[in-house]
Amino acid sequence: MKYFLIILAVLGLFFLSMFGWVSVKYRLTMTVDTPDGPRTGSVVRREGYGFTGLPSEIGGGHKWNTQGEALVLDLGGGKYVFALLSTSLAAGSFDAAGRLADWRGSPPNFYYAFLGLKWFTYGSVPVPAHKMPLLVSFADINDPASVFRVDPKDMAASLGEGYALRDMQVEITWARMTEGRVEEVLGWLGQYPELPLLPKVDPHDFSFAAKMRQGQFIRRPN
Amino acid sequence: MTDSKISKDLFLSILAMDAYNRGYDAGIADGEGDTVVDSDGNLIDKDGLGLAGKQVGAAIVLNVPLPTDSEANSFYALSYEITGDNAPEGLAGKTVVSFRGTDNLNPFSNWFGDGMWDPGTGFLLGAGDIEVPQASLSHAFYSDVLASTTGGASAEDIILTGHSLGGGDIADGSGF
Repeated sequence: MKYFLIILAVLGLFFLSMFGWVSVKYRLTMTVDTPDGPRTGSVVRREGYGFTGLPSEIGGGHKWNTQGEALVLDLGGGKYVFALLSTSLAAGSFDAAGRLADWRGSPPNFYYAFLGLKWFTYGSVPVPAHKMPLLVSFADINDPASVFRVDPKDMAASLGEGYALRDMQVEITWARMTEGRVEEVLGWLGQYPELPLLPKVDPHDFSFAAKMRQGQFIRRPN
Repeated sequence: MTDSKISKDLFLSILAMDAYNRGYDAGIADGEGDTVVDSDGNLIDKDGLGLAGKQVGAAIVLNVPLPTDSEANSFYALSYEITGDNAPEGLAGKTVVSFRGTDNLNPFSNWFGDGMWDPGTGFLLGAGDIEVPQASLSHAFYSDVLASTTGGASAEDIILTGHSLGGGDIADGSGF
């Protein structure tokens, strides 16, 4: 009986060692030049990384998940710009020494950086172009159908003369996740990530607004 | 002369695999590496396959949203319209629903925000439990596709495909 329990415990530990997860919170800060001067906003989100030590053919591999909400930046005059949740900032963002500033790492390095508790002293670093979140705005903040994309390289084209992205920075943080800012501005938005922004979409409507999902603005912990 | 069209079964198998590689937790678009803005202005993985409006062979991905709580229960499905001269025999004009199978075996997945693992939300379908979350979600998605098909298509115009757990979802989605 004793050996059976030992074997069972070893098998149990082996099973558990095949799975794991880590998560880290980061603050994203965006500054935009407007005709009335620069405006800055930030958001704290959480990124989770999970791994399953099984062959990918049967569900193994690495997964990334971003939770929290979009960065909301009030530009004044009823204009807002949102930096959405649609991309993973941490994936591939740490080098072998766990430095966030080097964006060429790999998922295991993120894991080691977390376990080594090296990351909490890092300052902010600029978000590189290939990690830039999708930016959107609304012609009418109360109308989800009026959503449009904002090009970070040419904000003036969609927002008007005098608007330009000055800076976007990211830093690891212990702060609480931001909650409620998006709902405050977009009172009509629901909480289900898989649902569209529009109340009803036609299956053949492939427009930008019709393809947007609520999860690009809010993704709360399950 | 050789028929250049691929067979119906092969095409449905391709679509069964396609459901693993689009949308959240896509196998190919894995959230790693560079991102790009596609022609529709969506930010996607450079290696991703894209979503509604994209085409794979004779199939166009339709814009049918997932039912509420799909992500929390690790459920995913796609619907396609089969069109064009290259449509495999018997599929032209049909709508195909493809259910994703098991892709989440991590019992801790809910802790890093990836929804519940598949064994907890779908595996009991194989034992005949049609009340597990993925069963009702597959049925809801199928019903949404049926309701949104133009011209009030009947169930015969909708073909179901899926791999692994997706096969269980098919059984429930079609109401056996």
